[in-house]
Amino acid sequence: MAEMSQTLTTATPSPRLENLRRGVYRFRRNPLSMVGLVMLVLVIIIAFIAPAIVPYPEDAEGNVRALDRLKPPDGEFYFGTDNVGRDIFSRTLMGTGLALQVGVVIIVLATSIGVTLGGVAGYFGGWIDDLLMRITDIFLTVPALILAIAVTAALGKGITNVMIGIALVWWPGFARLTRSLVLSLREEPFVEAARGIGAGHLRVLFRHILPNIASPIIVKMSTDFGFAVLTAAALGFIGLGAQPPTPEWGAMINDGRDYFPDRWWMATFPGMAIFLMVFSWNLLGDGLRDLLDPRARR
Amino acid sequence: MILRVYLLRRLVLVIPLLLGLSLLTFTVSRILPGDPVGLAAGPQATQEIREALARQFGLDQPLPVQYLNYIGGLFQGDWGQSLYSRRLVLDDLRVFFPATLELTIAAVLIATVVGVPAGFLSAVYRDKLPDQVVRIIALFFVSFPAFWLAMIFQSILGVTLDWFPISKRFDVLLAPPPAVTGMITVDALLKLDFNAFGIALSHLATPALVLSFGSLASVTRITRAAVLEALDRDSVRMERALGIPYRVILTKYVLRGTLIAILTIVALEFGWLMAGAVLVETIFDFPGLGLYAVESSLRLDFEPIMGITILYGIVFSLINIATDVAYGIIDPRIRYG
Amino acid sequence: MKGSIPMRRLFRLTLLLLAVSALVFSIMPGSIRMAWAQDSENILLYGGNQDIDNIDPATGENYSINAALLSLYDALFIVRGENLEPNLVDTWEVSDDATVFTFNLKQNARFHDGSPVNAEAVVYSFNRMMTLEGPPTYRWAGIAGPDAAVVVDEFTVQFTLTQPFAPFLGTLSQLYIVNPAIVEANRGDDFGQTYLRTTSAGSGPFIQGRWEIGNLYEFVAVADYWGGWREEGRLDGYLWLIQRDAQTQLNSLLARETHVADTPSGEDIARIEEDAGLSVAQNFGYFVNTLKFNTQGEYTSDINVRRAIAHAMNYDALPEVLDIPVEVMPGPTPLNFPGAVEGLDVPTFDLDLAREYLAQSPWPEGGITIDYVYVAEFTREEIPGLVLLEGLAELNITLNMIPMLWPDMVASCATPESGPDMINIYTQPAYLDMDAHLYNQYHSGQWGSFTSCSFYSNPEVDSLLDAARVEGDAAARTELYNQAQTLIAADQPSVWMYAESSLMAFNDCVKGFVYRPLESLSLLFRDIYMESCPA
Repeated sequence: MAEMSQTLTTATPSPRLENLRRGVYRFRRNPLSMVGLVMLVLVIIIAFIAPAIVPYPEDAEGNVRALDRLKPPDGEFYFGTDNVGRDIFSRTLMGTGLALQVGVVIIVLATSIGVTLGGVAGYFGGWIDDLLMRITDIFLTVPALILAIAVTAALGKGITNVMIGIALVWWPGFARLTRSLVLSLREEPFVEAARGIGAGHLRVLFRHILPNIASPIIVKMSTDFGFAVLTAAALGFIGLGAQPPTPEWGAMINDGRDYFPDRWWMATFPGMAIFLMVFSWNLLGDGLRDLLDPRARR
Repeated sequence: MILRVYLLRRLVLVIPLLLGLSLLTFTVSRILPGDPVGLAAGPQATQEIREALARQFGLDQPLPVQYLNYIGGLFQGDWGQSLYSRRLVLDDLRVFFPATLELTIAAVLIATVVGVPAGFLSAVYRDKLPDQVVRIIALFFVSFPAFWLAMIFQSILGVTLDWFPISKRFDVLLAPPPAVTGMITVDALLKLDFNAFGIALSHLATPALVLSFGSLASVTRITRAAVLEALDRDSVRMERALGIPYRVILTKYVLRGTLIAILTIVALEFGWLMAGAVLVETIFDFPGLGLYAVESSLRLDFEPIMGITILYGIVFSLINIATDVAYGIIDPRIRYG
Repeated sequence: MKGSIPMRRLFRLTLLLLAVSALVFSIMPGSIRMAWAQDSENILLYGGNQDIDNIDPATGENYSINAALLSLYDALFIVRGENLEPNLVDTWEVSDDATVFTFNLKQNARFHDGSPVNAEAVVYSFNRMMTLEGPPTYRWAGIAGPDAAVVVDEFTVQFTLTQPFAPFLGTLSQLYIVNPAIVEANRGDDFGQTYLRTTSAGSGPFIQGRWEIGNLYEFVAVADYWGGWREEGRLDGYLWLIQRDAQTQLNSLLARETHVADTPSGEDIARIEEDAGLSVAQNFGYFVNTLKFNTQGEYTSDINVRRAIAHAMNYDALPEVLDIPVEVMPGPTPLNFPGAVEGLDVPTFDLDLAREYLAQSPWPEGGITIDYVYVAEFTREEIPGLVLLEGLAELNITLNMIPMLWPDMVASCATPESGPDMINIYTQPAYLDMDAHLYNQYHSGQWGSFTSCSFYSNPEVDSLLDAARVEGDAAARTELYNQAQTLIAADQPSVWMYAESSLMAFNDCVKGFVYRPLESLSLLFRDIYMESCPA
């Protein structure tokens, strides 16, 4: 972020800075985005301090307490215990870091693949563009969830495969977006100028064009983050996700499904956790869109 | 007519796309580290039984041959066979697709009926309280994991309140109306059997409601944006200046001007909801594509998975073409090309 | 406004495209539905956890398929309780060397189309079964070919095996007899498989009614079934409702929307029993959960490591933490299985002893990681791992829990190199003979199948098991099996954990259930009747 805004300011200093300042002002005036930001900061803090603050950190690693099975929430177990006696409060909080990590890996992977392919396609055009876009189209023919299920089932169960599987079906959106943005800048004078002074293609693409199209991509990253977390949880729920006893929220809900609604706490709390994380990302993404994507600003 | 040529061209272009898709899913399904044949042959199978099964399904052939056989079959209406149940994939799709289609249509209807007025309200009261409330509600619902919400709604509406049946598509003790479309509500209406229609509808209610939440936010957002754009148009400003009542402008000009955008988003959401149905169907034991997809993927039963993917591909492509055509019609400056 | 005409066109186009996409795939074949015969009849509603994927006797094999086949078809023998009873067979003879089996069939048995179930039909069915080499044929692999059965006369059939196999009669309860005329009429190019996987051609007490794939299946009683019915309360039919969700099964049973719920969870037993009109049939069966060591593996080839691990398992905790009643069974055979040796020296949960064994291994201080492979999403395989993980942590051994999809597990058992250190496997004998329990798990000739994933090899055990297969004398066989079990127990190729109890929840108005340990989950609907069930 810091580097990007620098590039922005050096390119055309005053109007951009002015824009940014106005954006930040708008962002701070939008109570929802502020709520989202605060919630997200809390989530990140929890992810880091969870191991230190939860009462039973060992419950995230396959501890079995036969005598404490299926206890409803009380003063000792705030969220109750699951079918092998593990503290759900501890497991839910310990799962925060994993969910964040899953989201980050998916989004970073998908963005890298998508921006690179989309950028190359848009910049070079011609047959490269045709080829890359046809490949992108193939991925876009099928809803991401369906393809993610197929790919993850093929790769085999496990949280790493879930991340790879989802990232592999998530990049085409970024590729499309990047391509259209690059196309709109390809003939701009500053690009011509950079090329004129002898900059290589890749340098032009990555040093001159990409910094100028970062905003919409960042907006997409933030709005997609929540959905990536949701998709990962869905795969966990279906049974393609994390390896037990990993406290993965989707898998925890699946564990709780057979006990719902009689022992509602097993599925309810991990579900609330997913909701809170996704909701805070969506609020933030909504605010960021207002801030960074002028076309969507209304 | 140009439109007709364009349409034909787009439809023809779907074929290489689907070929690519089939190659993709084929590759994915054959890099399986697991042993689908071993699973299908059953726990006690000897090596000979497994080999016989592989032979029967042509899995002993080299991969390119397998792929060509598969593609050849696709064009002749042979979509392969489930290794596990040995049923024909196309037969299964014929049974399960109408169920999912029915569920999706119901969900899209709910999302539209709720989302469009909400978006409208949001735009008219832009940045005021109703706008904020609508926005937060829409974001709220889209942030829930659908499968989790499905569990909650099933137990509230189905068990606690006992308003709706908790699972399946129809009363198990009754034979559903004769299948014409496979969508029970439609079939019931075709027979003018309103009792059956009511039963089918009550089974559809909870899953469709839960499924619609996923689209509420985008339908609302797009409607809001489209209405704001229409309100911004010079013609509308002019009409306001001319003193035409605001309400008349809204209903007569703005709503009509935004219909296309709404239609477009609804068509797109249709495709996404069909995917979302996967998660909702599992909870409600709703025998559709989603249940089929999940069961097949857990069994590594790849022929059904490929069939489902390609079917989704076809439906999605058709929807995309429809929306692209729609864009062209709204804005004559866009040339079909 | 400019939009009006193009808009209408657009509308039409969109609708058209949607309609086309809908139509192309929703042309459903007009299914023939059996109308409900009369009102107020005895229709049993069965909440089944599993689909009935396929009803071809030659290719289908699991508990739900078997329940359906038992209803639609007849076999030569039938398992009632723990006994094997003749069904289509009237009398039979076995040659002294247990290779030639001659059966005289009952002459009144009729297929649903009225034709007699004769020797030709038996020969045809066996030939079809063995030619297709489907999953059920493992019972006869290596002992009989497709031509093993021949017609002697209209109602006499003879099987000649390629090697002696004393337990042969027991396997014939799974040889369902198909109607050759119907199969031939629908033979196609796949020996009638396309036809038979959704349509039956049998002689059983039920025929198919509504058949909604993935949803529900209706079985309608054949009023004049050749085998006869009991007079009072027999079923007029039953509906197999697929209820994949355990909670749905429970709720439906409690709400009196179903009469039976199969495989209820152990957690729900109390809840069901609380209800005055419902009860759960609980029976310990032969469904056994075992952790198999790879006896050719890096660490687990060492007997002391195996013994140390076997002593680090908290056996007594298992019944506490599992969601189903179990009987702990730290030896190779369930104690209620005929021929199980009593008083074997089997491990107990004893960490001190475990440390002693570990001290004699090349890794006296532990510090090793053992892979534990189990079926993903199956908590009853996950939980024993978690219990063992706790015990092993005390020995400084790390247990790496690896959930796998079932086919991956099967694949990993192909060779000792790919076999995991430990794997959680459920086994169930296919017939009521010690051979079914020991041969496939502990004979070195069976390597490659998942039941022998411990890659156990002991030439002495091999020769004992081979000898028992041809031994005609019952007492001598028992002695051979006793020796084999003792040797196997001493080698500790597995951590034997428990036999699971089989659960089936009933409304009390459903009568006639007799527990059948061999096919514990497949209800014998022909013997079920109802007494004043609420409508």
